[in-house]
Amino acid sequence: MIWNQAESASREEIESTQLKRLQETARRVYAVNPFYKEKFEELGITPEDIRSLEDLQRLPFTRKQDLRNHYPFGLFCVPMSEVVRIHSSSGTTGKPTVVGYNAHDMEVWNEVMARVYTMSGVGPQDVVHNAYGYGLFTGGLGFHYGAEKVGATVVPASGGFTDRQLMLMRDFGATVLACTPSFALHLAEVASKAGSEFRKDYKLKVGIFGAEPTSEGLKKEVAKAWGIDYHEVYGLSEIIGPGVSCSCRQSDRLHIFEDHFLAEIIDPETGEPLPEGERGELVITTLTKQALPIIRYRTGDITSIVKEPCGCGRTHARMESIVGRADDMLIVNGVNVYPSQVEHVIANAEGVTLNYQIIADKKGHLDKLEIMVEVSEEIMTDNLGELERIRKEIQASLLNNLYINADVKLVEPESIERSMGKAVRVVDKRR
Amino acid sequence: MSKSIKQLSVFLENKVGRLGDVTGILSKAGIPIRSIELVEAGDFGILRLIVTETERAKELLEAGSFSVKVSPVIAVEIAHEAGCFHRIVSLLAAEGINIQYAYTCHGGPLGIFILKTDRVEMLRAVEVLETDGVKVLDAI
Ligand SMILES: [Zn+2]
Repeated sequence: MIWNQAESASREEIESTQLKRLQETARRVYAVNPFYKEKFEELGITPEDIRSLEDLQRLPFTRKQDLRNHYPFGLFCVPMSEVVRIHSSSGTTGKPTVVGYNAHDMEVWNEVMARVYTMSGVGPQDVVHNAYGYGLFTGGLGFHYGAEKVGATVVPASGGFTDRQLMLMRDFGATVLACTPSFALHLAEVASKAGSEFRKDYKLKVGIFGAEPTSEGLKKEVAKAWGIDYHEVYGLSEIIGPGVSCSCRQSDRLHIFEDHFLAEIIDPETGEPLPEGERGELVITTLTKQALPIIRYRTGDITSIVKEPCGCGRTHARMESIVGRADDMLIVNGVNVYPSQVEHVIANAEGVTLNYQIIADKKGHLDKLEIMVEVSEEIMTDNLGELERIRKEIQASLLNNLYINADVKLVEPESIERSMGKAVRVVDKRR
Repeated sequence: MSKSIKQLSVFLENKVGRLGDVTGILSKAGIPIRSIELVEAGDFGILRLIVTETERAKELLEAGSFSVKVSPVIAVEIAHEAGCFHRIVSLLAAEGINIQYAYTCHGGPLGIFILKTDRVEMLRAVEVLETDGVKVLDAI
């Protein structure tokens, strides 16, 4: 089932809608918001210069810092009397980012979330157990109203209280679980204490997961633990919240709702667009948002996009599940390396998450990579040969999976430099 | 596990002063070290310790950011005379029991030989030794 015909429009139709909406958005921000007007002027352009989709590249980028600098409402493009909802991200550093919606934006959000549910096979007969946090975070309410829009029954469970959540899921006959993948796994672990046959007490058939970076391994684990179809949602509050893209039943890639969001992949270093299918930073321009339209938002997320039509009947372009963060990308002897990939390789090799640090340096003309791995209690042994085996195994998996030749060093716990409680993942001594 | 004693293994990077950090923590806490052995491989090593208060020593070392593993090892009493090591080693070899590593511990008129076998073989190893009259200790 496809919620809206727009999802299977021809490429020409998609692009002509995009161009029209991009022009409207450019005119709107230029006319009403001094921040954008100034940025356009710095580049010597006006909205009239946008004549084709290629002209998108002439527009300025917007960064998270721009939202912070104009805290709280400086980038809004409608009067506050028109704003009906505010959400905000918890800023771990500096000011939080604040986003606003008018009534029209709420309709857009509900529309794209209705597409997410329909893509996941969810309809009026379903009971959606929504364990995304309700509050300033966009997850809870985004999933809530989308479910209502497709006519499903929503249980607004929000986060926490594992035992009570499981009771509600059983008693209300939840068929759909919406939450972060790690919470889904936690729920399964607790539920399985009732015995290996615990699944028969539940009616779950689908999970719609997102809001955190997720390895392929974790996805498989969650799908297997509950015996359900795994659908992945991507979104960010700066753009709308959950509902920018979602994976269908035919593909692991996520369909981007292209009539509302214009996506580009750029080289994070140079800002230049990359050819279709190549990995780079995802940049999104909103096409229909009114309260907070955003021009060329640098998501910082690394992915690739393909435009070929999908077996599910949709023509909207598909992005890969997020591969890593642009801030963390390292280029080592010409190969792009993301710390998240290194983390997955280590976790897969040893079955536990270990603290690590990647140190890039020069040896002559070549780049040299050293990876420090902290010896945690889980892998500590009294056997020297066993530790050496672990070290070599990690080294071999990095070479086999990521094609990087790294020197793995085992180090003592807590010996990797911390910043704000988190281990510093990358040290680049070449700069 | 009957008739075994507890050994602490501590992960150490080959850096000046780290060994001293371990002994410092134990000495400050008044925990005597009965035996100590350091084995190395390149950039790192394992420090094996037999102490009087294993659990407390482990907690203190972990609080000092060390990775610590407690494992059971076999301790046997040996006389200070030729052939006593050989007797133990050949008894186990005759039964096909592999010794992963071994070291000694002094104190009193008799010596103590500490050895580690594969975990699954430990019970059998103790049995073999005791049957032949070797004194296996359950505390030192
Ligand atoms: Zn599809």
